[in-house]
Amino acid sequence: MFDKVLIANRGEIALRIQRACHELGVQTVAIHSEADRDAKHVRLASQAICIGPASPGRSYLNQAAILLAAELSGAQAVHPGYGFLSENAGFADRVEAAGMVFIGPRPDAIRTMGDKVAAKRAMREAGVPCVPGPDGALPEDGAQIQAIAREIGYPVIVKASGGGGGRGMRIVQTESQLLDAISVTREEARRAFGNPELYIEKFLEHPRHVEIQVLCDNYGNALWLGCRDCSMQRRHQKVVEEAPAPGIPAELIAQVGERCADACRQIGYRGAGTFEFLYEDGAFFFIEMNTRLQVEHPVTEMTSGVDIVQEQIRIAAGEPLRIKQSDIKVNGHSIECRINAEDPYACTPCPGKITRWDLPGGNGVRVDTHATAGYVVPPYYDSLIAKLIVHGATREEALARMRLALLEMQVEGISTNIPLQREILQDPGFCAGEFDIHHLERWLKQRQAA
Amino acid sequence: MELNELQQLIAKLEASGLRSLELSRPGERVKLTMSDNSEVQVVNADDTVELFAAPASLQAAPAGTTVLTEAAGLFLATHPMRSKPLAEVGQSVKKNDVLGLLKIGPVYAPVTAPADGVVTQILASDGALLGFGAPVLEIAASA
Repeated sequence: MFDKVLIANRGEIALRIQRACHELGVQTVAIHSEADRDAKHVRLASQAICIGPASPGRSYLNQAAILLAAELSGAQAVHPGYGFLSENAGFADRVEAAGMVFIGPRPDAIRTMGDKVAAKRAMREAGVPCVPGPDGALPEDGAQIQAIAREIGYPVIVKASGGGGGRGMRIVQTESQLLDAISVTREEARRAFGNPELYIEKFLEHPRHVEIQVLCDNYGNALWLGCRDCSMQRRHQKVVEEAPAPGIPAELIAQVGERCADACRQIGYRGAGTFEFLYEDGAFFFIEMNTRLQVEHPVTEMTSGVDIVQEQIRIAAGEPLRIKQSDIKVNGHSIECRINAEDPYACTPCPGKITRWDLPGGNGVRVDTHATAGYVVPPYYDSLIAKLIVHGATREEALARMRLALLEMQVEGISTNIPLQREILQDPGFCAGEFDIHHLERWLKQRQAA
Repeated sequence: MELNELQQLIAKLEASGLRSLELSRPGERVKLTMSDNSEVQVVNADDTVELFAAPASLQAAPAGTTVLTEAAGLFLATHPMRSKPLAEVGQSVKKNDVLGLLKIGPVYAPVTAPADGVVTQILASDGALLGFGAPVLEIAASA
């Protein structure tokens, strides 16, 4: 095991990783910006080094400064958390070149999964179900493109290989619109991403977002830890997550989970990862793989009993997995509500000083947060200030527990999305477990109209 | 030192974006400083010559200016090849005088005076690991 790990992140996830390290008897180095000088994870770290001013480009994204801090502190490994440098293959390369361990997958795996077409091809070869459509770039010839789209069946979606995050894509309902849509999207892709390459897929109209958590060691052992439903989204941002996904047969999830674990063995994947799927009409379709720890990992920890962050560190230190697939059970139900410092309905960030900070508690309630009363939410970073996580024997029990926890949680001084979360937990569609990825946006629109 | 060696050093200095370079070997010592108009100043010096000669400046420090680091590194109060600290309490300093060094990996970065003044307090201890924006010393405007 390592003696010392550098945590290249901030906020609740820096604290989460720090706890895992300290529980394993590993010392921690907190790197931080000037804006986070008084942060909780900085105070509780074995060693803290301020590496730059508030702006992320000069601190949490400053690879040279982070690597020098790692060298100065004598850390043997770097945990990148999520966001910032966590999916930057170049940074992972530099960490390893400096003789340290990057707590995550090998750089080439990060690279492959970052290219949408390459990732889809790798998954299809490994037998993971993908959205219907060829796993290569579209040809130039109009008649050939029409033939491909006809074979897939309308509606289809045209996407730029270099796109992502909702940019560089266009939905096509009928053949008459296809070629116009192709030429417009190709031109946009050329301008926006410098890469005119397009691909085409079946467009799913009412999918759910369901993902599978995996954990792999360096010795060919790969496990899947269950699934999560993250369909409650707004502007491509997850708002509520839960495990397991309601209403999907356990056998079907097990089949997909096994495929994911097989794919990991086939590509020699290392560490924690998440396979994201769209789920529609009883079928799973792979969309992308996240090669890092996810914000919503706690709901899987609550239902599987596995400490994902500790396992990441053990794997990076070269230890084999100590559990087998047959040891992993889905126990009860867990829900996470993301608490953001933002206007609950307009969704605009709301930094400032927290004057009252009452947290919920009791059986089955977990709060992952770096905030306290008196804490000033800085304007420079993500607005996530807490993750409220509950566990119950059933989904109904978890829902009831979350409603109560949201009532107990009182924050003053800044606006938070707690009022929105309280309303979501009363929404009949959400409570029945019948919602697709457009549900929350639709619900907000109706609410605004009313 | 041969002229072509000096030329090579100057080219490297220009390419690296460093402001000054110091080289010593038995019998000789060379310091190259990029001046503001991008011409290279060559000082052939022995141990008694004051290094890091500062441009004359009339600007004085406001009362109690704290000098902060601009990067994380190991603080060195004394040049590794000298025995006398670069700054001591009571010492008069000119703007851009080197008051200490920050060892960042293989590089020694100077901590310089932001203005003319007198050193009133040394805040960082020799060999300490300092972060970005950490206080190094305090200077007051000279009377």
